[in-house]
Amino acid sequence: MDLTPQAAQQTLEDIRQLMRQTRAALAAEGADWILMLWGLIWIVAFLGTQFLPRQAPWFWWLGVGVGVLLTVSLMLGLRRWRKVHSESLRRLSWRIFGFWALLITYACLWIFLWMPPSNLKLNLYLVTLAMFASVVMGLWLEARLLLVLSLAVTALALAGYFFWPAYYGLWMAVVGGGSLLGGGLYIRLKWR
Amino acid sequence: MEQPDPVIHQPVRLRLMAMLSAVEADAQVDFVYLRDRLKLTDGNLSVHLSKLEEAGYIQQVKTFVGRKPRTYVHLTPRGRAAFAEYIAALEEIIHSLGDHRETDCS
Repeated sequence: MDLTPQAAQQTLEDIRQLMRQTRAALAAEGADWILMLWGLIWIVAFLGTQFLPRQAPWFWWLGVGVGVLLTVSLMLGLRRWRKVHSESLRRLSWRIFGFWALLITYACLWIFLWMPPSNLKLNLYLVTLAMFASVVMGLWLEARLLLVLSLAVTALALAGYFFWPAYYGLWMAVVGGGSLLGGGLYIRLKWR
Repeated sequence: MEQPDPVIHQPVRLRLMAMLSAVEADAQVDFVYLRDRLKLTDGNLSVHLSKLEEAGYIQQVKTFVGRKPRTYVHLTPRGRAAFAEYIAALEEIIHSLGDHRETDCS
């Protein structure tokens, strides 16, 4: 077997690409469903905020409650059918779960301490906080798509808040919920 | 110049080793996932896994999830070292191209 430098270069590139794809596909296990789920919840809750403002808190309490319940069920179900079993991965999953649980606790505490003066501000606070946590996840897990998606949704939420406050709910349903849903669909179709 | 390990160099086995190297050192990868990702049949994948197992590069672990049998594959420390050596051998061959060019120019 005599390998030419050009063939070796090609082989090395193929290996690196396959390793990247494998890491991405395994890291994304379940992320597609979770993103699509939260995208749908955002679309419904933001549309509710826009068109039925008095009932908005109910849309959010119900949406977030169902979302947390389904996300935890999905994660527990995935553990059984995971493609990769690893003690270090299991520990990482628990750390991620702990991070989100703590974040939700702190978010509630800060709302209690400094209740934002309007529903619009409260909404922007929660969206940017959730996206900040996603940026941290993106950096932590080296998931570029998550990082870019979270930064983009943060920028779009701020744009909606400053430029079209009257249509903020509608704007966020389309660009916020749409981005999460689209991100989940992209992972599902491209990273499998 | 050292040529790459022929056990690993076979295209399917090379892709298998690359996928197994991409996960954590303590990770075990599902047989079905490997089969589907590499678009192989059960028999074909088993043959390649056996070759790698004979070389001591991987280990297969058979278990049950509920009542269904599942097979997981993991890279042994020897397999991880062999794959690192394979990559080093490829890099050496690539660098030799640069050395030849420099020699040609001088």
